[in-house]
Amino acid sequence: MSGFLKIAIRNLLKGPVTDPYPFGKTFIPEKLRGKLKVDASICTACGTCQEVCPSGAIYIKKENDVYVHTTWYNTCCFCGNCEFFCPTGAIKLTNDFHTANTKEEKFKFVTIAAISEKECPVCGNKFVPATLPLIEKSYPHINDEIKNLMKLCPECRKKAAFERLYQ
Amino acid sequence: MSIITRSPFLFRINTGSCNGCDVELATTAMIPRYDVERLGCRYTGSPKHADILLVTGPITARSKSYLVEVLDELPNPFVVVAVGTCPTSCGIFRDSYAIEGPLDKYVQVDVNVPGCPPRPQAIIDGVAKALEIWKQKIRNQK
Amino acid sequence: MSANIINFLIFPGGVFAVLFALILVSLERILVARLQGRIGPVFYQNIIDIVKLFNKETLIPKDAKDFVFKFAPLFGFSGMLVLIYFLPIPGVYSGVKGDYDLIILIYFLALPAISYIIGGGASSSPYAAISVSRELKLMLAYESAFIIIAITIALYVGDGKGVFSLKKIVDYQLQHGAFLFDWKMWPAFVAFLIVLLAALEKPPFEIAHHNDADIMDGYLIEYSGAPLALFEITSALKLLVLSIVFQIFFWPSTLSGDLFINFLWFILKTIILLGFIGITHATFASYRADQGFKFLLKVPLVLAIISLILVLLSIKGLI
Repeated sequence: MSGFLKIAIRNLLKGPVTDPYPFGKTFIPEKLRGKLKVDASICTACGTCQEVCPSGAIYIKKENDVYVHTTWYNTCCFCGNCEFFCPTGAIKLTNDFHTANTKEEKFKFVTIAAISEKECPVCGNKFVPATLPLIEKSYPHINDEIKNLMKLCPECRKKAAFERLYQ
Repeated sequence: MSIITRSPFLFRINTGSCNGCDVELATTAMIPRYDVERLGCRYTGSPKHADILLVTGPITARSKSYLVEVLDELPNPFVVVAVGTCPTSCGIFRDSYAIEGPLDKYVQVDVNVPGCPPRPQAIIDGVAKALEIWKQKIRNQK
Repeated sequence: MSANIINFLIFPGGVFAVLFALILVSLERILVARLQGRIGPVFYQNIIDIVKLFNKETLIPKDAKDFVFKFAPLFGFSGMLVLIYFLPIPGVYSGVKGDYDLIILIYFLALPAISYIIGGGASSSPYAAISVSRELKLMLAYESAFIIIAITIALYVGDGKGVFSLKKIVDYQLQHGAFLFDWKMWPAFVAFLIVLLAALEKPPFEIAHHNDADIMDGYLIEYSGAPLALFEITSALKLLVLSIVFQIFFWPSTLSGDLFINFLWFILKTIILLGFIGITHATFASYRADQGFKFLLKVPLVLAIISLILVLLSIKGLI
């Protein structure tokens, strides 16, 4: 009991240690798993995140020429699986924890990333090209030849590779 | 009359939560760092005193009847806050045979605070939003 | 006649008593928060709470005795209001002159607990039923010690004959020095502090209500709206009444003849007592129900009897 009393008196003398949060700043850890950030320029819309998400928060849908990557936070459990499994490193969890939302915002509380398809310069088909971070993971040395092949659609790439083989 | 919105009484009910969100709620109440009493809040032991109901957990089949009972016992006007992903949308427990959620089925949920568990600051944010909604409800009642 | 009405309705009873008591409760909350390292509420928090509760819907349980359930709070509330009108505040207010107001005090101090018991009993909740039985036992446990303290003081003042006039007790202490500084009364003083905590149901005697882990809000569990607000005011007024009783029994000393300075001194003394309550609230855990009753039946009763024996011996001239 005397120990408690000592702590209590010390608290009284030192003053409150309360975080002034709603009115002031607060401490946020660097590695806090908060809202997602999807880099649409790196993402290849492979669907790994959708497959791996335990709560089904991520949904990728094709609309015309654009893949829409939607994350609905009201069912997200902030486990970080999407970041861990993302082959390109397009998904990063930020430390933004402001998740409170009202009834009207419930189904609008999402992060949307639009991954647009590109046109193949040879045949004109639409496709999502492999991005540089993905290629960097697969090949130790990247030369201009690989970079040129990246721009072609899968069919044309096959043709180009065979042509190079038999020349 | 806006001064009375500075005295919200909180009541929390655990509807089969894993206790993670309950720990965060206890943190907001008791730990000196996130003191909700400075906003005028007070945790009560009875839903009949409460102005803001905090629900944690996906509504399990066993806890459903108790939740419905508590919702009936709240005096008007009241605000419902879903703390955590589970009551908001059932999260990872969705489509389970033992889950009767989400909370929207039983009552109009005014504020959702998703997170697994949400950060204490996010809960304080949610309570602050609930206070604004409560103010509007009092105005509408008159 | 009009002075009586002012005394009853505005100062020291009525409006002043209610506001001051509510501010005292808020100050106690702030002190506990500061001792725990928190900021705590604003000093008028409980007044806002009361205003809000009066604006809320009142729910009445289906199985409750409607009339008793609604009017039980008024019982304790009116009792406390009357008591504040009765009690003299040393140097500030002379109270209602009567030769037996100590007995009235003993009777009226039980009223809040009785109103809790009636209200809780009428609310048809099992939690309230358990809480009511605990409140009853608690009341029996501390009331006996309180009565022995009162008799000790009455005998001491009357020098063998019982003097049951609070005015005379105050006057005796103003002449001969406060009982707080009399070693014969020290056991009774400690007993009184324990009884005070038990009567206010602050930790370590938070047994019958606000005991969230055990019986939730106890007898208040079915109450909402205006009756709940009345109960809150009653418990706040009980704090004020007990601090006035403390000052009458043990520390009625005044600073000067000036009414205003005496009034500030009265408030300071009340806040000193509040500091004691706050520190015990912040440092002690609550007893389990049976431990609490055993402690209350043993310690304060024995201390009060020691004081009674010492006083009797001094009256006989043996000490």
